[in-house]
Amino acid sequence: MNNIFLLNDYITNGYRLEFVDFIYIISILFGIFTIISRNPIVSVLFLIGLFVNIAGLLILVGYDYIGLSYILVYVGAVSILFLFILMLINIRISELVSETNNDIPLAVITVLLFYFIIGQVIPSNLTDNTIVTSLSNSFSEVYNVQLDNEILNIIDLKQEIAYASSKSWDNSLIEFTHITGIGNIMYTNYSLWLIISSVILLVGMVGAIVITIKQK
Amino acid sequence: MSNIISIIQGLLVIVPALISVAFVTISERKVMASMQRRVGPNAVGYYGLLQAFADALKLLLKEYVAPTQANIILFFLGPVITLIFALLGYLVIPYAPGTFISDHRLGIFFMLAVSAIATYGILLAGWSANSKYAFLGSLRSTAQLISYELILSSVLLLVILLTGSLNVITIVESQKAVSLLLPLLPLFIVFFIGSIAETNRAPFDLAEAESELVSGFMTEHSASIFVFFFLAEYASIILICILNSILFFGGYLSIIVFSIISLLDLSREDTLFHVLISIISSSPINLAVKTSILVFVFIWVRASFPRIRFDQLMSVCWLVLLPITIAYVILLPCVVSGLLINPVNISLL
Repeated sequence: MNNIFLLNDYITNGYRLEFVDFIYIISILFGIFTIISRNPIVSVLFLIGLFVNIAGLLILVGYDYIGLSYILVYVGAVSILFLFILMLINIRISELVSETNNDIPLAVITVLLFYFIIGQVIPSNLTDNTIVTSLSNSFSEVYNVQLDNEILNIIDLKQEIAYASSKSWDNSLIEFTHITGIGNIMYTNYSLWLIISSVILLVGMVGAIVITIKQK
Repeated sequence: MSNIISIIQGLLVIVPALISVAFVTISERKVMASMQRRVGPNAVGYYGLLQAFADALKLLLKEYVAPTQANIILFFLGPVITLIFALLGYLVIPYAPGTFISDHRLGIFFMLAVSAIATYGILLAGWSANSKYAFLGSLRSTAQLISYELILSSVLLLVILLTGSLNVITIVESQKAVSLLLPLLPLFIVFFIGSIAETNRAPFDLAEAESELVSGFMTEHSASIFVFFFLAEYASIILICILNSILFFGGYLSIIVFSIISLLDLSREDTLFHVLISIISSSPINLAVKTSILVFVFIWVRASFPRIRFDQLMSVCWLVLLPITIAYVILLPCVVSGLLINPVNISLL
């Protein structure tokens, strides 16, 4: 480790932690507005805003391929057809006003029960002593070495440096495709979350069918 | 400091883009006037050169009127989205070797994503105006954009196959030996027709067929809001002409292969002739000339062909152009792998 090469991250150009918090707040707000807005078209527009937000988040944290394909598939193709059909249907907003306040306690109870059970069943820390932790630790160690280096004394660079390494070609070795990385993590360490999210999706689908089915 | 520099960089791209939009409108009016044996605008400035700026000033000074039942937020958001996302595409274009804002490794992908979002501006503007003409115009326009985007992205797939990269600069540089026009000539014609339709130009300007729909999705928009739509339309025309010349004519590279000439006399490295060739073979003027010719063809097409019906527009897309493109998407990889001529990604060399 005689010379340390500073490798500027060209993918997450200007990545700041505050931006991520900002996007989190906005996307939660958009999600709530998607549910509570009366006009279905406005509701879909908030949903599209949510998609763009999430794509921005993905691009910001470095998954630019997935973020851009998110925009291209969900925003450019799926939502636009959705919006298209909603606009062609003649909906009077006054007909859609219905009493939904009774459902709020039910929703609160369901969410609390769900999270209580999940919290009881699932271990709090999934990533102890796994490949992911060892990998992330190895990255952060190198990072800390650079940041604690008082000889260079470059404060401004702290935000721009992604990682420092002793080899110039480390940059191309560390980089692997995003989809492979996410697939590895999702189907090994975080497989439990995958199952939970699929259960939530199933409940959503069944719920939509139950609401729209005609009672004889 | 770096923030200020990046703002200046952005302005250095956007301001010339908007000025070139102004001159494209004036050139369109002059060229079409000449084709129809009229004089055209000739009062403001020399030969009417400043006509576009006078028009813009007039539109900006006008009072804007919004319909009473319109959804005001979306009514103003639509044009803004259209203009912003039409201009964002200029971000990844290389104008000369080393002259670009962003050397993003997914540049072409970025352009596709941006143009996908730009469609929403038209849809929102037409819906929020609460007018049947604007609404029908926006639905027509959106259906057209979605359909023709399919063709453009399928052709891009083949360009990506041959160049082996999604980066725009790599696509340009890999055409150093021969421009992609030669292997992909039929697809260039398909792509060009698709790009005329994608920018809502005549003969595919069904969205604003005056005899049926007044002025399409921008019927209710006036004054400065209308300027936004106008700028976005012409900015996307120039952008798609630049994209055409990058994909098929080698962007900033010269169309005549100067590298072959320079190979012939390797002994005379430092002569003026050699320096001149190296300047000419990759300079922004090449890109400018190619783009200008393509913009002229856009205007020429507008002056030559009558507008087609909407069902014809859709059947041309889905029954003629798309089968050809899909056939090529299947054929070309077969030829490439059958003849063992796998293209090499020059970024890895």
